[in-house]
Amino acid sequence: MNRIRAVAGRELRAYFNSPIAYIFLLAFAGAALLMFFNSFFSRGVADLRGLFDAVPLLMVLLVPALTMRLWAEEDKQGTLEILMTLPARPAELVAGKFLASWALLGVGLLLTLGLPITVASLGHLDWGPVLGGYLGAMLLGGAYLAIGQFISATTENQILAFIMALVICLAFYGVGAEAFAGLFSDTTAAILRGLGTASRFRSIARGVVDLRDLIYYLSLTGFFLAASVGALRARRWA
Amino acid sequence: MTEQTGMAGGRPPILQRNKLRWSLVLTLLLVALNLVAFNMLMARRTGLRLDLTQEGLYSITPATQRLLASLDDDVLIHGYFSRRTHPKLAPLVPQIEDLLAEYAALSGGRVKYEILDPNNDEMAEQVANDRFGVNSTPFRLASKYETGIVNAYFALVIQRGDQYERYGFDDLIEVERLPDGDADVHLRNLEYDLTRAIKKVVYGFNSTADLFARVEEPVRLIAIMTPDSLPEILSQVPEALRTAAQELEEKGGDKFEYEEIDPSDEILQAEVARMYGAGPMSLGIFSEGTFYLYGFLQVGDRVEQLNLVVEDITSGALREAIESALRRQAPGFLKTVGIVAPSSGLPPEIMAQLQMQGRMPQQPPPEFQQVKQYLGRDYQVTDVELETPDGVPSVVDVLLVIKPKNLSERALYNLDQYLMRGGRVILCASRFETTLAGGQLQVLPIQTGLEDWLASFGIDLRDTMVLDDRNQPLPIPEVRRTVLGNIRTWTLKPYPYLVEVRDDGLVNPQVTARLNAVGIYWGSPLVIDEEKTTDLEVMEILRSSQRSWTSSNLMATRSAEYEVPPADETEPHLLAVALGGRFKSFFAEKGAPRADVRMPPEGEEFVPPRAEVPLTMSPETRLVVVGNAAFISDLVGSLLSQAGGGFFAENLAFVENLIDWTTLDNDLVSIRARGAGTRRLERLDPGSVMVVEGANYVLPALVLLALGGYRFWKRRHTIPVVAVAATSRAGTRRSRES
Repeated sequence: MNRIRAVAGRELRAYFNSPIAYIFLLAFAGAALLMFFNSFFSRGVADLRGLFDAVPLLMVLLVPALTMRLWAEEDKQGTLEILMTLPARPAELVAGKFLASWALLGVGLLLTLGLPITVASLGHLDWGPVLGGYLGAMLLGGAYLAIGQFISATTENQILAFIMALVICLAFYGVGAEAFAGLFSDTTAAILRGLGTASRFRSIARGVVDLRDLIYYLSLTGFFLAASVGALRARRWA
Repeated sequence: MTEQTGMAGGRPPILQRNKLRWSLVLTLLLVALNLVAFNMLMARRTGLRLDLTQEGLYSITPATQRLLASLDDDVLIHGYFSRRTHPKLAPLVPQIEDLLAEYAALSGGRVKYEILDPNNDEMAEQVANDRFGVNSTPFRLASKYETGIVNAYFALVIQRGDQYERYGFDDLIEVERLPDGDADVHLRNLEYDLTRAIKKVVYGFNSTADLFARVEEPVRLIAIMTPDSLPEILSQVPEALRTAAQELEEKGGDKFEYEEIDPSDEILQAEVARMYGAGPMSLGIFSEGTFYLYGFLQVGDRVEQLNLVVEDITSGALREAIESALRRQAPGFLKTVGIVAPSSGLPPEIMAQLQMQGRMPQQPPPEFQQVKQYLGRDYQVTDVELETPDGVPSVVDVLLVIKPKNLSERALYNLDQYLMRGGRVILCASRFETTLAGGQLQVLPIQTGLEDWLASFGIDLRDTMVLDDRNQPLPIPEVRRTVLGNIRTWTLKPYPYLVEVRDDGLVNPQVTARLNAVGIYWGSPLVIDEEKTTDLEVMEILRSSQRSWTSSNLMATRSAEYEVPPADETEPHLLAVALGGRFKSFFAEKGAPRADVRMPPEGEEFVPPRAEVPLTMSPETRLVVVGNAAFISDLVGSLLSQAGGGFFAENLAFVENLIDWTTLDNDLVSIRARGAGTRRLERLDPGSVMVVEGANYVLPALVLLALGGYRFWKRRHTIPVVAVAATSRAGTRRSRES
């Protein structure tokens, strides 16, 4: 546990000592706010729909940018070798890096907290969906971060890592979206909807925390973190 | 993950490496398969969830739970959903299925449901079409393989025995237009629709024997009468009453009890006066003699008065009146709402004449059609005519009087006597009416004819209008000249006559329960005379805001410009109020108005008008007055909805809540009008919008700047990065040693 914390601390410091964290946070919060205010006053309803409608797509675009360097960067700088010789096991390294990137995402979401406070002062805000929305955003972001880390661990090329992660996250996002799932009829559409990250997110963001959705996100995150560990080990053999 | 062996020391040889890689891929594949299987297994487990919403939007309300637990009969729910359907509708079907499953579970198996696809099941289609009148709806469909029209089913039928309720797709869903041109489709309020339908099929149509089974408390019919001193025209009433009582006794058994009191001595007279408010009635203006003729139906501790002072009353008519009264007292029965609304345009006989002359006069559209349709989904709605010699029919549980105008003495008497019988009255009356003549908005003063009647109970309906700074914008048509030609658009201007009642203005949470706001348009203020209402309970319902004032300047209604008077001239005004208790008749002293004597046509016998003695005191009942009728007018509703504004849906729900509240049936009030659509924002001026939006951008930016500044400062004041890396590595080594 201590070692995970040490790795996470080192990663977080690295984020905030470089412009990456600031650019990410600025892009995330800025885009979220823009998309929220785009429709908020014209709709005239006291909820955070504009924000949580935007979150899944924002995550798809920004999370790969955050994760592409996780392992690829270590490779480039030659620090991977050092990391690998450390007493920390690959699983601990993966967990530490995951927690650090997750925390950064959390900070990004914290920056939007002004919105619910604003809305609550202008009308009757139901805090349930807000809570659900933030929880869903963290779960969704976690799953994407795990996917991104896995891709980053499989390649040395950052650009490739970014594009691959983007494609896979987009696939998970799109597979359950109505524009895609609606093309199929019968049970296929239902299965696709169950696979999609966005459709699950929407269910949580309306304020209902369903055990099935939690299990889904945890499975997705857990699997890709395990796969990252596997990929790292495979690298060691290379 | 299983721990791989033999990998700690250096690189394994190539052959072993490939083997390891394969075993790794295999392990991951197995993990993935297990996770997928586990997720699929869990997909069947519904109900393990936490509803975070304030109102429990996605949980079943106690009202529904109570109803489901009390079902004695099986209720069948048929869901007709095509698999090939509109992509926006498809995701709603699992939601419906989930809720049906919960209904089935909560009812202990009384509710059974089936989901059928009539497109693939000919039997089901035949039943759906022929038995329940369910038809498919054509949807435009664009998919990867085809574009075209698909005829899809999207309907629910709730059935008990031969009673059924049908919901088509436009009953079940709600479409919200999004700013980007897309539309969001969601279920309207499925729990409400289902519960209402179950209530309707289970309680809607029952026999008298069922009626007694439903009433849990003993039923007493008390007749206070002096059969010996009754006037000639009423002499057969006691016999008719006894016959009716006997018939009811056969059906009700132990639950029904009939009691006759003949208050011949003074002690008994004082007793009935105290208990039922029954005083002696006069035989006529020229006679000294008095008599008693009262009927009271008591269920538990609720009392309703029967009007017995009617000539030629039959035992059948009496029994019907008693059964209606019983139905009112039994929980959950389908209520009958009588609506008195201005008839549209020309009377039918004149219409017919004009048509025979070959002229087709233009009928103005009915003004209160939507409220009737809306209430018709939940109640038995009947049109009631007040200008008749017969009075309000006894089946009416609640009388809704909309926009009364120049009511005659006769109409007023019928209304008064309905209230005296214990009927519940809801008045939507204003001293002004709004018309759209040639596209021009016009506000005109009117007389309701109710002013004196209301004043006798202590309610003063003022002939001014309430204006409020907390208002809804009025859409004003505007023609804009552009390079592409003239474009007709709407601009929204704040308009103080469209009072928006919300927050602290919704005084009575029992009525306004889940409503967020109610709109009152060109409404009149109500003032309560405290002296006259000492015996009654005054329950305020709606109030305007602190920044509200009154005016009777009709010219000012044509302009959307306004100025709020200084603070000491503004105050909240009462817009809706209820009186509860026992009312004293307006006609107690003056007697019934003389009925028109109509000369019979040639050859028929002259029938003298019936003798009428007014009931003077009502049992416990409620009278609600809303100082406005325009708020439920179709005309105003469609005008305000032009630009997406207006509270028409909320206003209709408010009226429905009033009906349930006056009849003490609060079950559905708690489910109605649930949903996020009603959480509206306080209206902001453009300046405040800028400030609010700007602050939301600036604050996170400042936080980020501070964070960056702090990190920068810290790095400059600590040891260089290389050293940090070196020490941290040393730190890890130490931790390994320890």
